[in-house]
Amino acid sequence: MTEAARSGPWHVDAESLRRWVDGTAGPLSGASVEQHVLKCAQCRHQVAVLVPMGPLESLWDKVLADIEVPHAGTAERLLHRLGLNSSDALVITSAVTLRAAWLFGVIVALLFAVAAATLGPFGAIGLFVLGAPLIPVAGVAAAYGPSVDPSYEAVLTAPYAMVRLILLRTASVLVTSVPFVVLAGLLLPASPIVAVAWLLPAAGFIVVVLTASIWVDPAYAAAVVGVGWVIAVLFSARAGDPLVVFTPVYLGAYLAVIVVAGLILLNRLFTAVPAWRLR
Amino acid sequence: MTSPTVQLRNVSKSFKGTAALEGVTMDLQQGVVGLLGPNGAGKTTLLRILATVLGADTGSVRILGHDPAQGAQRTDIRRRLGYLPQELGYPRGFTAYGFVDYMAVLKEWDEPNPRRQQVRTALDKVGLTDLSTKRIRALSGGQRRRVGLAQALLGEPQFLVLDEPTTGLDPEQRVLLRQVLAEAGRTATVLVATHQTEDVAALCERVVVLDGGTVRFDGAVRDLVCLAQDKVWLADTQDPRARLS
Repeated sequence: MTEAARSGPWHVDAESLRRWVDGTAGPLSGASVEQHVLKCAQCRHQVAVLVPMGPLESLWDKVLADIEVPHAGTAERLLHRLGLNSSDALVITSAVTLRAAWLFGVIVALLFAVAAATLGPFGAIGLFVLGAPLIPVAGVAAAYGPSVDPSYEAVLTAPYAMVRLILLRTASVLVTSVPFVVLAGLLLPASPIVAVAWLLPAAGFIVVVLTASIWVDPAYAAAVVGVGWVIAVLFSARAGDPLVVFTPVYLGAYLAVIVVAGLILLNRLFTAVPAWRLR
Repeated sequence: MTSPTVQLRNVSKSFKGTAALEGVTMDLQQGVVGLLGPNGAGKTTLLRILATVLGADTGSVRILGHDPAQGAQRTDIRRRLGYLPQELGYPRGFTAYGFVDYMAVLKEWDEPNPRRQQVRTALDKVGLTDLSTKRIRALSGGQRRRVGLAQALLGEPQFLVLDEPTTGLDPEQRVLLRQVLAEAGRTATVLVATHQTEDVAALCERVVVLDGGTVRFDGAVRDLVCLAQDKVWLADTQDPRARLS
């Protein structure tokens, strides 16, 4: 029978416990203390008193953060690498637009490739002219606003600048959709100019939607712009050439739209009258 | 005497010719105030004006000493405001923590560590610490409502505007919510629109009753109870003398 068994329950002395907690007890003594502490509530209580709480709380905080904080997705990490701070990256990727615009762009590129193979050159070009400028416009309309953001009202009452949110998300739409559409245009049996000519009406429509969103839901503004564009392209197609909408007269008109709508937008942004006023 | 958190003078608002609010005048000070009224009384319109979502057509609105019609002043108000809309939806894919974190970013908590503390505190207040990593779509209606409440509580706002915060909550959760709001009311102005008269009775010292877009009563809960005697029944069994439930 051991000495401990003969003399009843025993406990690790304070000095041995302190060395074990510090990690200086050595392997043999350490293993012995550990075995005892596992079975003895009183010694465990002594250990709790000896262990400094600061590092433990810090460790627990790190564990919690690791579990709770959602891991940044690919898009968020990419934006961070491109120099955006983590807050702006989160604001961009929290919109459905980034995923939707990318997916939409891929689908459209495939659609144009299929159209070129099945409809023949004229049909494919008409389809491209009809759809290309509306893709980024749809993306911008889906980036913010009461009809696409279920938490819009709560977001609106946060102090984060609405103009910053809108412009960041607009930029993300353009970056993720424009390259696909240009690529699809280059695949068409038409002049390479067609692949980029749509950028001017698209830019005009986007500025119109951004400006109109000061007063109305951007989805409505985009719908009006879209209907107008479809009518214009259908008329030009019925007249025999869908590319009429890319002739210099039309291009001049798009430029005029960009300038006028852009000036209104800038005026609202940089004067005393607040943009995105209360309705 | 400190200036009131909210000053409304003859505020009116209409939508397509239909008056939602007519000549509303009131001051709100620190504490919890209940806003009662039937459907269509103008409660949500009033709350949306106070949350800087809507502008008033006529009249004067001052919130935390600022005019919400002015851009810079509106931002100042929003920095000190917490708002729970009547119907708060959530973008797809967010966890409870992720959504409150996203709202914290929009509330200008840019530094990750202080933001994490704020988010955790807000989720803890509404009893969602254990569910913080769950996706919102997997939460019950009451739990989702508490996520919405957590985002409103971020940063201990000086003015809390809550539209039907108890919707979907079970009795136990409602008791917890009352505790949270009573605590908030010690340092902030809390305006709660609700259909639950028992919440108002348990929580508020003052109650405002709206009907048809105008203020029908503004005073202490006990005074409303005296006024409503023989006219309104609040219990499950109908009072034969009362006309309203």
